[in-house]
Amino acid sequence: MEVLSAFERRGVIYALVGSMAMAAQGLIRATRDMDVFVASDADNVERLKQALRDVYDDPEIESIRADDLAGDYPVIQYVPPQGEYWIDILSRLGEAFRFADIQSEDLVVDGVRVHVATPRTLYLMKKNTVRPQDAIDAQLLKDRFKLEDQ
Amino acid sequence: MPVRKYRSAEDVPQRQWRAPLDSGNLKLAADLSQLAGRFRPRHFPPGLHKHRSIYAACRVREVWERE
Repeated sequence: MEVLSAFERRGVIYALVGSMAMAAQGLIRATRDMDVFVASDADNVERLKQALRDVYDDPEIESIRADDLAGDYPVIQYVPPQGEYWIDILSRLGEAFRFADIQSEDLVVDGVRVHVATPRTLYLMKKNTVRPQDAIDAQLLKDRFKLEDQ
Repeated sequence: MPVRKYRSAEDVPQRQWRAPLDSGNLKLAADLSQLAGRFRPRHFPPGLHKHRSIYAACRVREVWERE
């Protein structure tokens, strides 16, 4: 929550996806990571870096670059110095998903507004990936939220 | 936690969903993750790992999760 709180304070444009978004939508499970989809423009990436610096004293954060996220490296895994978990920072998934394609809704936790991908967005993101867990999640989302393929 | 036995997979209760966007959901997931971390502490290589695709990131993740 500390990271999400810093995101809000710094005005980061993002949407929570992955396991923590599944949890926000009601399916709770333990995870070692947090996945965030971010807008890859330079201003937003700078806000992202400021937010991460607010939480972690780590010079590695400086190496997050907008031109990487907008270019050849759309996925950055950031493992903070303690090494206990990591944050996946995504700007696109292949050609299928860019930040503009992510629909999100808000959840307020202890006064912090959290932007969470909708069940349909999570379903569309997960249904065609190679991870077996994603296929399971896609089916769970489809059943729970009565989603239809379009 | 008690052991529960079932005669078939169909008898196993379905996953329990909580209400979507309930304000307690994220805290519950964070607490559960923290508890899991205490039971099985892990150490992942600190720093930035840049990937050209989500598939490349997933391969790294699989290695980390196996270790």
